[in-house]
Amino acid sequence: MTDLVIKNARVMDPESGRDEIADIAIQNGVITDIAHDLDGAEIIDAHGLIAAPGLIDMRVSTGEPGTENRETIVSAAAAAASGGVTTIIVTPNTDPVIDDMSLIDFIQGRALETDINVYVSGALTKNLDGETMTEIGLMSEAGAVMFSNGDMPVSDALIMRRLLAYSARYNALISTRPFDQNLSKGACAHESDFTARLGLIGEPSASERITIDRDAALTELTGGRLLIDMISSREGVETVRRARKRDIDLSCSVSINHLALNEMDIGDYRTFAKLNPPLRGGSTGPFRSRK
Amino acid sequence: MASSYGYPFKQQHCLSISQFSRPDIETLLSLGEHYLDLDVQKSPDRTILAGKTLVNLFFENSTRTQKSFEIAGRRLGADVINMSVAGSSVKKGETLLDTAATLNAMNPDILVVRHNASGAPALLAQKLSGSVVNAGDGMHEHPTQALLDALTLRRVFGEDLGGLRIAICGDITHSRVARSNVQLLNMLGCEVRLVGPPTLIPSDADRWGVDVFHDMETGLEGCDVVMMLRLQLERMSGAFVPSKREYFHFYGLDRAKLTYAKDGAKVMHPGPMNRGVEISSDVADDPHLSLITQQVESGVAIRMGILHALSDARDDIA
Repeated sequence: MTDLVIKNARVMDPESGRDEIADIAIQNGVITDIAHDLDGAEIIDAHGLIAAPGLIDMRVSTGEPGTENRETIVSAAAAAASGGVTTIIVTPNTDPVIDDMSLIDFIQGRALETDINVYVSGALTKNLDGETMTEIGLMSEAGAVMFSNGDMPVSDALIMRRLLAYSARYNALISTRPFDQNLSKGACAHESDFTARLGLIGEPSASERITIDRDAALTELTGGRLLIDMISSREGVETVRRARKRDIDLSCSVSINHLALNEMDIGDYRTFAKLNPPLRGGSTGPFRSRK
Repeated sequence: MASSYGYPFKQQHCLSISQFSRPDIETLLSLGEHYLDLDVQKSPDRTILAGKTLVNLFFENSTRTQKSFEIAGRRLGADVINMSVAGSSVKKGETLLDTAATLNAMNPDILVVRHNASGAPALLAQKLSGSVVNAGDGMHEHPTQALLDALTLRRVFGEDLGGLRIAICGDITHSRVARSNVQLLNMLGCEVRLVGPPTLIPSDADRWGVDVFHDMETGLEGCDVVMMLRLQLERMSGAFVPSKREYFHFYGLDRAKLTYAKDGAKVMHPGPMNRGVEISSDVADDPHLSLITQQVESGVAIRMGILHALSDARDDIA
C-alpha cells in the first residue's frame, strides 16, 4: 500500500495541462500515481485545495544581510514555503549589496538551513551604482544564477553595452528595470488624465518602451541575454514581442499586481497602490493587451 | 638597394604593415637577421647612416621602442636627437602640423614618431620631406613591433612561419601591436587567433582573417605561440573588465592555462608587463617558455634593418 494519499485535491500542472479533482499517491516522498479512489496508509483530505508543482519566485528581496531584524533568509524561505513557493532567487539589493563572490557564498550557506531551493542573483554593478562592472565571471562560478541591477536601470548605454557583451562570455542572464531615469523622475503613478487630475507626477509608458527598445538593440549587438525586469505597459510588451521576433534573447517578467490591478486602484490616494513600476491605465495593462 | 626576390625595396616610410608587400617584408626581416649578429650590429664601421639625422619624436612614454631606435640609429652611424615632448613646444600648445613644419625646416632624414592619435605619423609623412617611421600611433599600428616579433619567431621556428598557430590574447581593442601583428602574421601564413573578453575585442574582428575566442581553454588549443598583450590599468576597474582578480582568473597566462596550448608552446609579450594581471611571473621569467628578452634583442636588430632599408630607398631616388 502507498505511504500517503492526498485525496480530493485540485491537481494543477501547467506542464501536462492537467487541472482536475483527483487523488495523489506518494511513496518514499515521490509521487507515484495521480488517479481516483486511491488508498494509502496515511490519508490527507485536501477538500478541493490546489496541489501544484512548487512555485518559483525569481525576485525575492530579503532582509539578510543588513536588516535581519525584519527578515532572514530562513524566515523568508519559511514564508515562501507556506505560500507554495519552493524555489526563490534572492535579489542583490541588500546591505551590503551582493556584489562579491564571498556574499554569494554567504547566501548559499544560509540556504542550507532552509527547506526550499534558494538561489542568488548577483549585483550587475558594484554597489548597484549602475556604472562599475562586478566580477560576473567569478560570481557565476561561485553559483550566482543571474545578475540584476536591483530596482534601478543602467542608464548609461555604453555601460549597458559593455555589461551585455561581458556577460555574454559567461552566458549569464542579466536583468534590469526598464525605465528612463530622467523621464520617470519623481513619478509615483502612470501618466494619464486620471493621475494628472489627482496631481500626481506620472511616468509615461514611453519611459519603459524607450529603455526596452534601447536594451533590445544592445542585446542584439552584443549577443547577450537580458531579462526586462517587471514590465508594466502595453507598449512595453509590444516592444518585447518585436524584439523576440528578431530572435533577440530578451524576456520579461511581470508582477501579479500589474496583471490584476490598474491605476484606478489608487482611487482616493491609496498610497499602497502607488507602485514602481506604476499601475497603468485601465486599458493599457499588459495582461489586457494579450491577443 | 636592398631587395628580395628581385623586388627592390622602394618604401619611403614605415607607417603600417599594410603598406608593405611580401618581398618588402622579406627584405626587412633578412636585414634584421643580418643585424642580429652582434659582430655586425656593433661593428665599428658605422657608415650606413653616416651624416644622417634621426629624430625620435615621442608624444607618449616609451622605454624599449625609443631606446632601441636610438641605439639602432647610433650603431648605423646616424646623429640621433631625442625630442621629449614634455620639454618641447608641444606643451605650450603647438599643433602637430606646426611641430612638423618646425622639424622639417631642420631637415631630419628620418623621423621616428609615437603619438596617441591614430594616423598622426601618416599625417606627418605627408608634411615632411624625410622618412617617417611609425613607432606606435593610437590604436592603429605598431609595425616595427610586429616585425621584431616575426624576427623573434624566425629565430625559434626557422624561416618559414607558415602554419604556425598563434594566439594573441588580451586587450585587442586598444592594441596597435595586435593590429600590426594580425596583418603581418597573416601575410606570413600563420593561423592567427584572438582571445579575450568580448569587451576587449572589436565587434567584427572575425573579419580580419582571424578566429575569435572568448575563453583561453578553446582559444589556446593547439597553439605554437601565445602572445600576451598589456592590459592598461584604467581598463580593469569596472569599465571593460571588473577587476584584476577576475581578469587574471579567466585570461591571465599562468602554467595551468599554458597547458591548453601545444606542448612546448612559446610565450611572447611586447612589454611592459603587468605581472599578475595578464601574465604570471613564473611564466614570464621562464627562459624555456618566454621569448620576451629575445623580443627586445630583435627590436634593435629589426630597427637597424628598417632604418637601413628606408635610407637606401631614399638615397636611390635622390
